[in-house]
Amino acid sequence: MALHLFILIGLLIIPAILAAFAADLVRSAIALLVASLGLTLVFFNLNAPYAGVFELSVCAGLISVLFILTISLTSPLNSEARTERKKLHYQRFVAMPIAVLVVAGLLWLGRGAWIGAFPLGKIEAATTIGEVLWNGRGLDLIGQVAILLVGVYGVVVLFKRGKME
Amino acid sequence: MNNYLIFDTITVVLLFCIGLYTLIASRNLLRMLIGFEIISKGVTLAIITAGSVNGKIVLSQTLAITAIVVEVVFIAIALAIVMIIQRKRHSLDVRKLTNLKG
Repeated sequence: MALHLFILIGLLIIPAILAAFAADLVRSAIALLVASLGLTLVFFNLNAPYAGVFELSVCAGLISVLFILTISLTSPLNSEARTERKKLHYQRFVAMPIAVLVVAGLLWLGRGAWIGAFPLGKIEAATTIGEVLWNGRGLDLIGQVAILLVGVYGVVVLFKRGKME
Repeated sequence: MNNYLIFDTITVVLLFCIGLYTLIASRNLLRMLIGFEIISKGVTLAIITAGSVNGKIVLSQTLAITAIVVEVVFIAIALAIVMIIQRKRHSLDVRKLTNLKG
């Protein structure tokens, strides 16, 4: 229990706040990577290893690389503009950690009221992932493949150089 | 298990709040995408927590995998659009994107 709580707070909520709060975008991307690692550990703790592996490889790996690549390819501001932007950035985001603490406190204090609203089912006999994925959710897989193809097509079209360029 | 449910639900709400705040307060397109990522992490955690609590962890894992795939496609396309905006506008400030303003 203590380990689960430590992962939730230390490796998920705090990195997420840092990802939003950091003025430097590279630091934000790295904080997001740490949050993904934390989420992976939570998944393993909740007995969901497949989702954890997906989260680790795709979100912590691929998406972080995409973010850092895009940040490095988009030209950053010069140092003066960056200093000026930092002040404005911290002014805008200073209320966020306070808001997070207030929301967390309210939810914790009122936990008796909302926890009963969750319907808790019986533990069913576990089937395998493949069985659920291929037999139970076959139509979803077609949609998923279509979404992947749309993604590939979109990236190819967006990066295609026109005749005028 | 109830304790897990309480802590996980609070974390989901907090992640949603952090992401929403980032989306609202930020003017940089990349930071807005980071806010979206934080929200989608909350969504994935909510799916897995629901499955874990109700004993349908296998189904919830397949749903989480689907959510992650959709998220990756969205991020890839959005980052490509961000690159094009940067190339054409030399800025990622959303206030300067006023081409379609009526």
